[in-house]
Amino acid sequence: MELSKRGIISNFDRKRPSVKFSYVVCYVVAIGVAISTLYPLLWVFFGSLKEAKEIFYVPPTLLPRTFLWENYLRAWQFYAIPKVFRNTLVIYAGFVGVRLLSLSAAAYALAHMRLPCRRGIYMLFLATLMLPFFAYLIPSYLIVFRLGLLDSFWAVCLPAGADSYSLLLLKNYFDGIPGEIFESARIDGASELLVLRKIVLPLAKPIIAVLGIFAFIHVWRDFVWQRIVLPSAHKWTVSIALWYHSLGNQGAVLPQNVQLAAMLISTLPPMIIFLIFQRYIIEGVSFTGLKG
Amino acid sequence: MGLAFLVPAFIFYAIFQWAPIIYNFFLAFQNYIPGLPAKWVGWANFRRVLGDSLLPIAIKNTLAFTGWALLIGFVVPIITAITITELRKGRSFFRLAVYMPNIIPAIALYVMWLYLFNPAVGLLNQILNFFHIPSSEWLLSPKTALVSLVMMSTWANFGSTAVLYMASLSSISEELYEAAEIDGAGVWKRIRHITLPALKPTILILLLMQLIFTIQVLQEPMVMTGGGPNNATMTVMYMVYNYAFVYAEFGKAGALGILLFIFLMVLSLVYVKANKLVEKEAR
Repeated sequence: MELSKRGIISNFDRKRPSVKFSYVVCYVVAIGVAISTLYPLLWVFFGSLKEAKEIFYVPPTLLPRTFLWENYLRAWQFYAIPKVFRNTLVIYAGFVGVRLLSLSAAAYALAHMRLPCRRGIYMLFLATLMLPFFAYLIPSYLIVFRLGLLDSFWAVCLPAGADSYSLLLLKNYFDGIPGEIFESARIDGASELLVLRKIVLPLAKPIIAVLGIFAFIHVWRDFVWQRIVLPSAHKWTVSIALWYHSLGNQGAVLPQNVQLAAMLISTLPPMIIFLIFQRYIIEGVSFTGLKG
Repeated sequence: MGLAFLVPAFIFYAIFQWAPIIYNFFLAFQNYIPGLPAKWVGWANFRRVLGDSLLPIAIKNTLAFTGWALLIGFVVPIITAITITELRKGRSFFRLAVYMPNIIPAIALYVMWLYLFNPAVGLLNQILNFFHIPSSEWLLSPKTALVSLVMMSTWANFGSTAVLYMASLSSISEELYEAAEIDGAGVWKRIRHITLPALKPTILILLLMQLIFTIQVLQEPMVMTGGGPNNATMTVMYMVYNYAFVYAEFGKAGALGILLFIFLMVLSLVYVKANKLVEKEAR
C-alpha cells in the first residue's frame, strides 16, 4: 500500500486550530482502537501466569502475584501440543499441495491456453464463489463419509482442491503475465507442463506466497469441519484439542490459567507468520478484497 | 490440451462443491442415517422443519445477529480506516494493532472471550465498573447473550475490513483533495464529497459480503453458548448442525439447509447485480 503525502487534511490545514483539534481526535481514536485490540491480549497473558485461585479473586488483580510460568509447561503437556501441532502442520502441507496443484494448472489453462468456451468454464468454477462452506456442510460430510475418508487427514486436505477465491486470485495474476513469454517457450518446443513448471510457477511466487499464508491461517483456525471429520483423538488438530480441553469434554475442562496458556501457545504460530509476512498478508487482503 | 490442465480442478470441484449442492436436494426428500439405506419421504422433512417451534426463534436470532453485526461491524471499520489513514506518524503500527485480532484462531478467541465475559472476574465488567456502569451478565443472560457474541465477532473481524477500506482510501488521488481545498471546502465537506463517494464501491461490496457471511453464523453460539441461555443464541445454521450431528436426522438437516441455501443464493444474485452496477458506474 503506498503512503500518500497528504490525506483529507493538508499541512496547511493543520495550522488552523479547529483542524488541529480534529487531528488530535484522530490520534485519540486510533490509540483507543489500538488499546481495545491489544489490552485484552495483555490481560489474557497476565491471566495465563496467575495461580488457579488468583484468577477468581474479586476484584481481579491485574498483575499476577507470582509469575507462574509452569502453566505453559502444563498446557504444553495436557493439550499434547507437539502432537496436535504436528497433525495440523501435516494437514497444512497436504492442504496447500492439493490446492496449488489443482488450481495453478487450472488457472494457467484458463489464462493462457486455447480452450473451447473458456468464459463458460470459468463462470462454472466461479459459480460457488459466494456460497459459504457452511451452506453445504451436511452433504459434504456425507460425501466424505461415503468416500471412506472419515477420520483421515485427506478429509481436510482434498476439499482444498476446489476453492474459487484462490482460483480467482491465481487467474487474475496469470492474466497479468504477458502471453509472449509462454509463446516463445512453446516455439522452442517446451511442453505445456514444462512451461507451467519452469516459467509460470517461478513467476507466480508472490501470489503463491499469499495463498500459502492464507491457507495456513485457515487450516490453523478452522474448527467445525475438522471436528466432524476427525473424531479420533490421535488425529486431533490444534483447534480440536483446544476446544476439547477448554470448552468440550462435558465441562470437565482444565483450569482457566492453563486454558489461557494453551490459547496463547496456539496463537503463537499464526502470530509469528503474521509478523514476518504482514506486508504480504495486508497487501493480499487488500488485493483480494476478501477475508483470509 | 488445455482441457487436460483443468481435469484435476474439475474433479475436486465435482466432488466437493457441485456434488454436495446437488446431493443436498436429494437428501432433503429422504430419511437418511449414514450406513442405512435411504427412504424417500417427499415433502415430510420440509413440513417438519417448518413446523419446528424453534425455527421462528432461530430466524429471529439470526436476523438480529446479522443486523447488529452490520450495524456495528459496518461503521467501526470505516471510521477506523479514515482516522488511521489521516495519521502522519505511526500509521503502520496502528494498522498492525487493528489487524491483530484477525490472526487469533477461532477457538483460541472463544477461550479468551469466555474469560473476558466472565461476570465476576472478566475484563469487560472491570471496564464497566471503572466507568461506574453496573455489571452485565454478558453471555449468561438471554437479554445480552446475542449482542455479546456480535461484540466479540466484531472485535475479531473488523481489522481485515478496515484494511480493505485503507487500501481504497490510499488510492484516492491527492489532487482531488488539493483542488477541493483551493475551492475552500472544509475537512467535513471533503469527507462527504470526496472520501465517502470514493469508498462507495467498496462499501457496497463489503456490506453484502458481511450480510452473506453473518447469516450463516454457527460456530460462535455452538462453541460458546450452546444456543442458550433459553435459546437466545440459537441460529438457523446451528439448527441444521443439530439436526444432523445431535439428532442424526440428516433429511431434516438437508431440508433446512436447502431453505438457507436458496436464501443465500438470492443474496448472491443481489451481490452480483450490485457488483455489475458498481462496475458500470466506475467506467
